Amino acid sequence: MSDDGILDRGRTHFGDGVHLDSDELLDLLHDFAPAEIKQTWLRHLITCTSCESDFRDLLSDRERQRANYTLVTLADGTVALERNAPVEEPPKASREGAQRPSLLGRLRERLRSRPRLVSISGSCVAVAAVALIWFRSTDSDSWQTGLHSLPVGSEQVQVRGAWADADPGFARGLELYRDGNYEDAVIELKQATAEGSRESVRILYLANANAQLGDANTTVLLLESIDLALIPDPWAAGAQWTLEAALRETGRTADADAILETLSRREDTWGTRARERQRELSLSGDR
Amino acid sequence: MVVRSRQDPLWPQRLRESLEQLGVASDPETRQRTMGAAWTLLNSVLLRDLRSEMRRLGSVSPEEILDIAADKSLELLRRAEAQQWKVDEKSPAEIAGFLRRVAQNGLIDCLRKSGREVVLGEGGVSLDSGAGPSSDAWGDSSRNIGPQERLECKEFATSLRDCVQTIQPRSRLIWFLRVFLSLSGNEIAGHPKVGLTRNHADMVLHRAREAIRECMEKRGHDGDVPRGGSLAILWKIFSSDLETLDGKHE
Repeated sequence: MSDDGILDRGRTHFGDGVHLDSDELLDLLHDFAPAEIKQTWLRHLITCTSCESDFRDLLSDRERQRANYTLVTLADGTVALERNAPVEEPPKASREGAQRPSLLGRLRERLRSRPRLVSISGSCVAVAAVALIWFRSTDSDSWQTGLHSLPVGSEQVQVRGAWADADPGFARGLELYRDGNYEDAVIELKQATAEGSRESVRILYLANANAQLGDANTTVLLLESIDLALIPDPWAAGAQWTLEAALRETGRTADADAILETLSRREDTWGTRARERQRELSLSGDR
Repeated sequence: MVVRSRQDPLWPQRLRESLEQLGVASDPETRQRTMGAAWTLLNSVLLRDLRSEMRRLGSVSPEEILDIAADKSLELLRRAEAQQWKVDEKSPAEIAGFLRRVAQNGLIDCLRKSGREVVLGEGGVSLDSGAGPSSDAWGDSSRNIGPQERLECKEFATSLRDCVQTIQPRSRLIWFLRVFLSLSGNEIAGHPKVGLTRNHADMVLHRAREAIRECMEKRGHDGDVPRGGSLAILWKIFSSDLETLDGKHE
């Protein structure tokens, strides 16, 4: 059997002292062999890269098929194959559990409803009232290390007044953010319905709060929904810095590298930081 | 101790038992479970045979070979259930030979449909060289390991085993599917024992890799890329995870 099987490769049988054949590997894979024999085979695999590689190929094929297909029985009793797909993103419920459209859905809806996010440059007065300072996070053992977030000290941020009247939820979200209560800030900022230029600011804060919570995917989703070219510095540079870290965290290394490269060309402190970061990554071999 | 000869593989017997059980399964749950097991086994055998035949007849894409195996396995199951394919009186060698021919025909059909030339005959020359199993990311697989290297690999694998046991079973399974088996992000997310969104699976994988790398570094090892012997040493853990984890859509 398996006289020219892919796994034989001219080897003699393990029982004769050398290698496992493909039938034995199949029996091992499907756990058909008695325990003693299984142990003997596994001991052989430890020392034989060829057999181990063949076993890995069989295992890889099996798991790939399980990942790709599910056998289902149809209503009429016939059996059929269904292609598996990753689970859909679940809709996010509000804090109280009430069903709301997902964040992604709402973002898409908003993006659909207007050709592009309104430039905030024209309304920078409102944003400028918020004296934002990007600072280095103190969290040292997560991907957010080195992230520049949006601290909003009470003396620097005017979250009351006109904003509070127009978007009370937004104002509450900023307060929570300022207090470092990122979890609740996310909830409030998600539910807020900021208008005009404040919408971009809301998304910036929401993205940063998510970043502080370690949710890189949502951070990426949010920051990529904003046209950063329309946002003035230091918000734009800070958002790029955050986006770079989040992209790297989600495995999109090439995109993260591209952002870092852009930042590194700047002549200001962002450029210096970006070049430092490039050097660090280069030394660590992550780039 | 049970002694078995080369002429006596166990999988044909198990396949025969599964198909027999299918014929008498009365409740839907047993039927579904039995079918699933038989389909998975048929797939494994056909994929092995397909890869072997590709060396002789010509290669098809990785996706095509998986599709051929999946479709042929389904077809065989249907035929078995309809009593059109009877294995009860067949020897293991006959069952294996039949499946080899099924794989061969499936491959020839696929090659012809796509307009590729098929080189028939024993020892025929393949049109596409290098049509063997997946590329070996672990280096030269055609050699045995020397004593010193074996010791180093064993130390590495033992540390890896300890490190993977510090993380959650689902996280380490995701890590295993990527690092050992090179499954894609979508495949991992869609795997019946994972059942996560793609983003979530990516995130879990990233964190698992970080945790394992950090753990390995503390033990004086560089990275989490497995070396020779690792799979065998870790097999007990992962075969158990694959068996016992609650599937999300299984």
